[in-house]
Amino acid sequence: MDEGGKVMGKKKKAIILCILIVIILSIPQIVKDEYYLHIFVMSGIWIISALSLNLILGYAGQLNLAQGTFFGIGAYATGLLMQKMGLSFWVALPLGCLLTAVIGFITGLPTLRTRGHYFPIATMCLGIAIYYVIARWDDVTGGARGLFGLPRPDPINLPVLGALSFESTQNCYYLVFFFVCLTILIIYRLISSLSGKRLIAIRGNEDLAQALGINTMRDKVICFTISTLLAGLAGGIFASYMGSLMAENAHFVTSFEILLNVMIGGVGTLIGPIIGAIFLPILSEELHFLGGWRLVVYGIILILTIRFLPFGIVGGVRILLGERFKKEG
Amino acid sequence: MGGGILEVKNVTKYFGGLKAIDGVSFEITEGEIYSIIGPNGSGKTTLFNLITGFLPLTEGEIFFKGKKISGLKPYQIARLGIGRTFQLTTLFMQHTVLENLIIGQRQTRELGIAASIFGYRERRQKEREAKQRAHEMAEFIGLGSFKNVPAALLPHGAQKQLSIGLALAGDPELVLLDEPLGGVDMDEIDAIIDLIKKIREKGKTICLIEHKMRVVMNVSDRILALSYGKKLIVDKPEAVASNGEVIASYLGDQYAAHS
Repeated sequence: MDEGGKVMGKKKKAIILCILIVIILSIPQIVKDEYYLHIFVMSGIWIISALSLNLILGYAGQLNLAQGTFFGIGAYATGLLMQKMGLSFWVALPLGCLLTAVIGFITGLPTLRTRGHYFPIATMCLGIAIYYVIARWDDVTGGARGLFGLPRPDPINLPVLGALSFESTQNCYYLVFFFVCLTILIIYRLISSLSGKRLIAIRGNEDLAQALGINTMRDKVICFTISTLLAGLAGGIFASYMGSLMAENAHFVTSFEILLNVMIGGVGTLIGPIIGAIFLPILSEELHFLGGWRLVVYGIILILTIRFLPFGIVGGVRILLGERFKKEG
Repeated sequence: MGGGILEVKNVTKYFGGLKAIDGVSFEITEGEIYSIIGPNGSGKTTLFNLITGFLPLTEGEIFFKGKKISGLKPYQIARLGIGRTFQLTTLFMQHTVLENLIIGQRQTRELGIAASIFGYRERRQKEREAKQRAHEMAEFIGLGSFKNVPAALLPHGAQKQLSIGLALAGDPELVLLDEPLGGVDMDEIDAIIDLIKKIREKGKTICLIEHKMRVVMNVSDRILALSYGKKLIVDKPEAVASNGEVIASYLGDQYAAHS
């Protein structure tokens, strides 16, 4: 009976998922307003970033405060490869991701050896250091002026539909949707497997995980590398979509915004960061009239969330639905 | 049966200027229940941490099945076949009994991350095996009816049983149990003692740290008594219980009078 219930649940989930995908795919056909479409595209980019941070923070339990920096590295790497080397977006993006992952791997090796509060502190310092490299390295990154005139992805030739250009926001929406799905798929595959159980074990109690024969350092480094690779992916798409980059894109504030998306949506859940990354950009637009005071509002929201909803919006909904609420150890 | 499975040779451990373990040597024989007793602070748990690689040795060597393990990392030692529990009951508290036991399985630590993302057959196969073995382990440790209960909600005795189950999950040959009866109610003690005996019947070697003397005297084949990081005596329970030094430093005159 239990098994039967599970199968029914799976069918139901698949139907809901299909309906959701149809709705998401039809949005650009219904919403013709460029401005809203732009917000959706940005949400997609933030979803990838938030999911990437959630992998290392929510599952492996390591608070990386440099995720925005890795986003920036991916963005600058992809942008520079396109502009200075004349590479196509489709070549520059994988290379940009790879470069971000290599930097993630190299910086992960020493920083992930630390425990407790030292990892966030180490990554924060790393983020600030890399930000200054980007902001001051005038010859390569354009320094404070930034990078301009980055091309959109080259058109791709589809068998039936013909050439697909990415000059329109609408088509960029589909492009981002594809990469969001790819990210969700990779993360879902990882966390739903026995390897995902290892990550959860590391978050729960690293000593116990080691006593069970789990090579925690190796898992943390691989997880961190994948996480930075995905942040680089988001950055690379951002660079090509926006067409320009500022050093601010790699700033600590970007890391903070990604963290906010994860925390408010629901850390350690698959759906939470997605909800957070959709909700916050909309809120941000609504609060535009406040100018810099927006960040104060963000701060207050974050404090209230951590205090009352440690698992964010998803956790809140679960309480309302009366589901078993997994409280941190 | 009969060979030395674990050999501790002249092990010394300093914490700063404090000599926590002072030139201790002993050998655990395959298949026995070997207990370590001694007053608080005598170095029992430190010894466990040295054996399992959680602390580096200052001097000496440790061998497991003839292979030198001192200097290896905790996960490497665990993979060679030494399971352990921790003095403070350590579990993945927000996860169910079954999930805890799945995490402890060999299959879980073997599946690569690439195979998790891109693989299909190996991923499924390993998951099925791990689940199957976790179910069996839940029955073995007597928590068959609590499989889907989060560890945090278990009674204390059941948590201890689960922590022993975790130590056994990777199918080790030597199991180190650090106070498996610590803080456990009288009516829960028997279940754990039975479990310890069952583990031995499966052919595993057990090293036990415990303060409940009646249990130690009852289940142990041999007992090592420590005091201030020094080995006092290794012998059969009766001999240890009547040893003058052990009585003076740990058991107390009252215990001697009772037995």
